[in-house]
Amino acid sequence: VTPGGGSLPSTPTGPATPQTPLAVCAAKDPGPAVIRRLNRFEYSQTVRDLLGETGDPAAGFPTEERRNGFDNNAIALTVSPVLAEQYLTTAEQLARSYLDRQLKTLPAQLGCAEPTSAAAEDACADKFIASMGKRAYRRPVSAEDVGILRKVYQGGRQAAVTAGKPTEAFRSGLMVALAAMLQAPRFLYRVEESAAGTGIVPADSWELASRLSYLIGGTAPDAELSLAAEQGRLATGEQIAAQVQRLMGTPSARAMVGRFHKEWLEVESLEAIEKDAKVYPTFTNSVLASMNKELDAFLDTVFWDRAGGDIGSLFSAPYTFVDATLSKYYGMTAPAGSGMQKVILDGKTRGGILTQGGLLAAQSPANQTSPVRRGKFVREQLICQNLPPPPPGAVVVLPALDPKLSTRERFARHSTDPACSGCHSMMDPIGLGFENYDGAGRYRDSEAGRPIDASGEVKGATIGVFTGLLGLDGLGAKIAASREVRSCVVRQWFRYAFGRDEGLVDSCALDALAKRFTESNGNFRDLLVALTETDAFRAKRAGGGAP
Amino acid sequence: MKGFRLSRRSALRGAGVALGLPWLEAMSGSTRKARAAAPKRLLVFFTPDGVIAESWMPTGGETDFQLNTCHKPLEPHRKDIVILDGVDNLITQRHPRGCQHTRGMGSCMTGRELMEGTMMGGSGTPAGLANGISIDQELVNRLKPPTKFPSLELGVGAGGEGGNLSVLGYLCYRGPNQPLPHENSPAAVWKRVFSDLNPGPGNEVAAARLLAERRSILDGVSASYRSLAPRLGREDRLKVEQHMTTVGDLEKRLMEPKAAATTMGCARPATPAAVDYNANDNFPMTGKLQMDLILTAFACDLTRVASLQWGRASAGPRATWLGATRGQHDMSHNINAENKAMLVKLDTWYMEQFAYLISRMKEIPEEGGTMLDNSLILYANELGRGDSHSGDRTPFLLAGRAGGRVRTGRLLKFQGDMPHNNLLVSVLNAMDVPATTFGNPSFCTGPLPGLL
Repeated sequence: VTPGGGSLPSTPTGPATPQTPLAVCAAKDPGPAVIRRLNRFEYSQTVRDLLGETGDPAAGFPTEERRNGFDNNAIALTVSPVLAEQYLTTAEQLARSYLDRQLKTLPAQLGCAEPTSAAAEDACADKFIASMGKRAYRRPVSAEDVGILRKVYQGGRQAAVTAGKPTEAFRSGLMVALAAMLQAPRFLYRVEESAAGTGIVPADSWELASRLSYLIGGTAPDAELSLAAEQGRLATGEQIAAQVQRLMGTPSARAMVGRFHKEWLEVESLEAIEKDAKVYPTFTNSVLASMNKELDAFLDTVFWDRAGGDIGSLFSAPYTFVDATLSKYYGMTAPAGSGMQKVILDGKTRGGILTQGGLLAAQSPANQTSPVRRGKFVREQLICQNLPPPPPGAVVVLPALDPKLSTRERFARHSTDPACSGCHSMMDPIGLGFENYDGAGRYRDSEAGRPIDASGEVKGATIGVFTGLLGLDGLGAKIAASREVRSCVVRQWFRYAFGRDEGLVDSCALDALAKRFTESNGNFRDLLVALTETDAFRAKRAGGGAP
Repeated sequence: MKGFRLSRRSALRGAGVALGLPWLEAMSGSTRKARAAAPKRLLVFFTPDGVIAESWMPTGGETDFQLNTCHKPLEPHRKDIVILDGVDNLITQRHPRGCQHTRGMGSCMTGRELMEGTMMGGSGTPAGLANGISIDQELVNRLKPPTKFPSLELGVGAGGEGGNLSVLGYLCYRGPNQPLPHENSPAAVWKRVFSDLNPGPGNEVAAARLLAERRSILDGVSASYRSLAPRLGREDRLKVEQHMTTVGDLEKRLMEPKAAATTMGCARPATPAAVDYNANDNFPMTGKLQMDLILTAFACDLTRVASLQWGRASAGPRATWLGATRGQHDMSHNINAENKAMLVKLDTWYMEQFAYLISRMKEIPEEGGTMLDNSLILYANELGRGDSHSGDRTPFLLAGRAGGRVRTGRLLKFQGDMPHNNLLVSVLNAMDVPATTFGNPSFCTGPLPGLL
């Protein structure tokens, strides 16, 4: 297993001396559980579920650093001074807005008497701290934290009184208490305390509840999951599995899966793509928007569709989703009905994710295709093989456009010049197999006045040489059947699920997941379930994280 | 708060005037005293994707140089600038990790190569973020400016669309792997920097209440970090403690506001309108607002170190206001006659913005002359040229005298390898930080000869 993340400081690593996979399996080591800060997606979802906030309050926070392509890698989620400040002002806004909506009915909700005296208000505030605190911190609030929040509440009261607004003391106290909760580490991070002792211990029920809800929905545990944690009903495999099945039926699960796909397949910023209007005059913003919708609808279907939620569908499904705009762009018959409609493809030009306009356009420069980028995408995202950087002094310039030459001819130097071919033979021969699709995702069968040679080869992998239609019987089908790709899909999901780089310590889990993924014929939903059955998911290292 | 009269100041606020009002000086109670401590400031001004050297580099000798097309807007200020020709970003040129855009960006102000990592540049070789601190932050560390904001990082259309900023988007670093994100919205900058500068008449009580509430909140937040940290494993504890330090800094800053007008030109600027500052066509308007905010923050001594990043490496606006139909990066890859003409136009436009900063700084009198005399503006780019992606002859340009340290009105030409790290050393020296090397020492041979 190659650790995917290079060598940033504080990268969690496996044991210093390599062990045989057998020893790794025997150890049942869950690997390091790195403390994970909520990313923007998780923050907004969590706040929505906690406070009933409908907006996207984290939209203005700094963008996350990508690591291994994902924006939820714990190592990359640091806190800059600007973010700390935004946490403060956003928490204040959220708390004020919550109290604007809820203050009147809060005593009834909390079951406290109408607060008519300071003492009654304080008693009600205690209930607020306990109930809101438990939901915000995703476990019962410790006595120490209660003490801290009480003090904050009193400070807020005092601020109102000093300002000559004693009637606002209760509200002011609750506001600051809630604002403090929303900046506490137990809210902003998925905190798992260091367990005493050494060795491997099960994650406790509250930790499991958060692991489940954030993995499957990118948000905090809902009422039912919290109750299960509270009542100790996350103790057996069956109990956990039942929650997994339930959570997989929620809208949050679909949103989370959608994010995974868009980050993994490098189409998350599709709306930012620009094309040269002289070369691709029909590639308009509305075409791009429809391509984005096509990807969303297709990826959602291949994951969740009971009939075909598998890797074969992803790479060679004979259907896609188009609307009037996109069908015209693709040269298809317009579908019946408005909006995105599922259409069965004719099997001549398209099929599977690799032939979708959005993905093809995303891996192309503004005015041409790039066999390098398309090949690199397959090599790195789908086969999980990282490529070395170009040698010092390499000139990274696209070959000039020439109407007399095909792309294959223009990139010929990459295969003839020994200085290039070493690395480029890992990319270009794959990408040249995509040449039937131009840089804006349209199908074409000729270039420079000659038929396109779209044969390709994935060297050094079981896929090997491929020809034919990219999705249906060509590369797509071979990719879906490839051992390397299956284990790469597993690895990508592992990175996303655990928010960390995989290491040697995870090799046993990865092997087992890959085996199961193969046995299920590459069923994605089953893979998600399988992730929740790993030691990495259910257990943790005691004694501060050392194995 | 000496020399800073709140009630009169607020009279200006509504009118939206910020800078250069001659009678403001007369309103200030102790101008002379405030002037006595005119601070030195550094402003880094970045534009991406290289330039067209044959339209950028001046001809002629050290003092009798002829400005080229792109620099025409600087003609009125030729005595206030130093143009550098022949400085090379050797890390862009020679370090194997990353691509030229990512290397150029990462090393631009750090003088360091990229770390190992998995982030992709435009031409696609995996690398991480820059492996060291940038000079602006080095200044902050060494000079410890007593300002409310140690530094301000502002951007103009420099955000990562779709949420991916990556190494291409960061100019400034607190240290290895610690990029400082920039704020692209003037409205957000205003809110952060100026909203509590002056509560205005009648709002003092409300402002005091907000401060008291925040004190209570942040006390509680700090306490919750302190209480949690010992319960965590070592790695997690480090991470949480780092966050705790940031909260502590924030608390300190909010509780001890030190904004004090040192010069005229310090007035709370008008609130920027709520528009989409990331929209391509709003690029010029956003830039103007960001420049005004920086100038005012300098004038109020709210910060002494700032950066303004126009676009980001391997990106840049579609300069529709100049008639462009393609993006800057796109054009820079293909320098045909048409694209070249537009790129020269765009770089000239950037220089108009640079000239605007110079003009405004000259309008603000300070001890020793004007704000410009006490400041240094450093123009930088991540590449020399966009199509070849060369770091050779990377364009750099200085304006201002940094309190008399920089001898301006000159063109300095260098032959052979002249690492840009040397320029970074000289900038530190100009700002009174003694240093003989900066960044990766194997790409640095000392200060830039002849600059200071």
